[in-house]
Amino acid sequence: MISELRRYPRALLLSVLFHAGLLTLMFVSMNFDEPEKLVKQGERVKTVKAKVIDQQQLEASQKKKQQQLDTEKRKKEEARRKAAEKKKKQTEAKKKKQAEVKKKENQKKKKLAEDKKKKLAEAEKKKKLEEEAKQKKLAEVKHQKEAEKLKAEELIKAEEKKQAEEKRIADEKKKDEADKRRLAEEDQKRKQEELKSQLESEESQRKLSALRDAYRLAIKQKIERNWRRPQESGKMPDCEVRVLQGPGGIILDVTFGDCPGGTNTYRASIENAIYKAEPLPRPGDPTLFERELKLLFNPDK
Amino acid sequence: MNDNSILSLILNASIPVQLVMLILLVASIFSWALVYVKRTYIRQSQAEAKTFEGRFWSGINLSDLFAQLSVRQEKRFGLEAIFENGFREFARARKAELDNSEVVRAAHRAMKVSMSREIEMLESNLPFLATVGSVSPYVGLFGTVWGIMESFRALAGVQQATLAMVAPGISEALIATAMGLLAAIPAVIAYNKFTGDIDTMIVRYENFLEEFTGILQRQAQSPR
Repeated sequence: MISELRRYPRALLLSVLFHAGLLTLMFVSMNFDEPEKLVKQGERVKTVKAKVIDQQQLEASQKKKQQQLDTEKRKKEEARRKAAEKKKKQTEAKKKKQAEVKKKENQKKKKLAEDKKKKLAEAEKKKKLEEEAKQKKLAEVKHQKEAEKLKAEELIKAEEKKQAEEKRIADEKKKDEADKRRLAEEDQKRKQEELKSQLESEESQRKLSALRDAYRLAIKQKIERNWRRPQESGKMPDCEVRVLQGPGGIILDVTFGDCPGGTNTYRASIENAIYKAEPLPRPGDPTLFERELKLLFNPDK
Repeated sequence: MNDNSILSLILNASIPVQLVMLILLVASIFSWALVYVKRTYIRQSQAEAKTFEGRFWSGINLSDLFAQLSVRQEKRFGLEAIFENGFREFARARKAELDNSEVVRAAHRAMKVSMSREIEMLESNLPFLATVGSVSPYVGLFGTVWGIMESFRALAGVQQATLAMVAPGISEALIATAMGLLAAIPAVIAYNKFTGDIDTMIVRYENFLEEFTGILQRQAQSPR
């Protein structure tokens, strides 16, 4: 076994890789799917149960103590809260008063500042309006000049476009005609080629079929040449013979098919003729070799 | 990693169980490698038989075919080897001016010998696959039984037994059975397929041998 495995070193490698892949796949999938706790925790479960029994007693006494402590704590906390709330209210009242005074002062300052700003803004607006009027007049003059230029240019462009389109149409017509001619030529070529190939295949087929006919005829003639008319002159009907031949035209087997009323001596004479014709002639083309031949033997013709 | 993943189960297993698992893994690796080797060889010989039969029945002259084969340097196998040995023996016996029936018998004997050699090549190492297929479940079962025995023995010393105490041991032990089956199933399938393929190949060889003998018999009767 080892010697055979050594001849194909790839086999063992492939097998090892296959197993490694299988194992890793198994580990990975199992790790993802496993629910966490199933095993090895019997001891822990027990101890937890024991604690539960103890705690029920302990918890009853602990609850009472805790309730007393809780009530005391609550009272103290309420007292603290009330004191803190009083302090908070006093400080808030002071803060409100201070804030109101500040607001009034700020409002006065703002009014003064706004008045100044308004006066300055009105003066600036007047200046701007005057400048804009001047600029508008200049711009209108420029626009008129530019519009005249554009009209002239557009006329020139339109003429150019018309000429270009005429050219294009002419070119396209030429191209279409050229394409049509090409397609027609290609079609003709294709048809010619197809015809040629058809003719060629037909010719080769014809040759092959001619060779096959010649081959069959040669075999039949050789067998007929070797046939001796049996002395007993009984019926000599047409006889179908199946001949099995091996390489080199060696006869392997002869069986009789449809042979109505043929006597044994007649059949023996045919079989003799076939064996005498050995080796059977070879075909012109080796692909035409027929392992099983069906021959119709008719002595009267 | 969880403390009950398969890997940790294998690592925590007792030594006999681990040994069983190792044996099964090695057996599986070798059987798969062997499956690969056999499959390629059987396919090669099937293809060879097909091409050679095509050439043989194409009507080529036998001595031409023999000459073509003997020119080639490669080692011949399958139908080519049977044909070559038979035809060589036939030519040798004819040169020695033996009786016609003797000549054919000698060629037939030579072909029988080379055919049995080819069959031997085809069938080599198949018993290994059969062994893996039939024995590895038992080996895996042995590992499982051993592992379960151990876990029950550990249970004996405890007053209150719970399922949680036995379960890890049993699941650890069952891995061995799973591995045994995993090694056995492909081996059995491959063995059955290969024996079927080889049987058809043998029938093919025998048919060729008989037909070729008939041809040689005809040729022996023709004048030298």
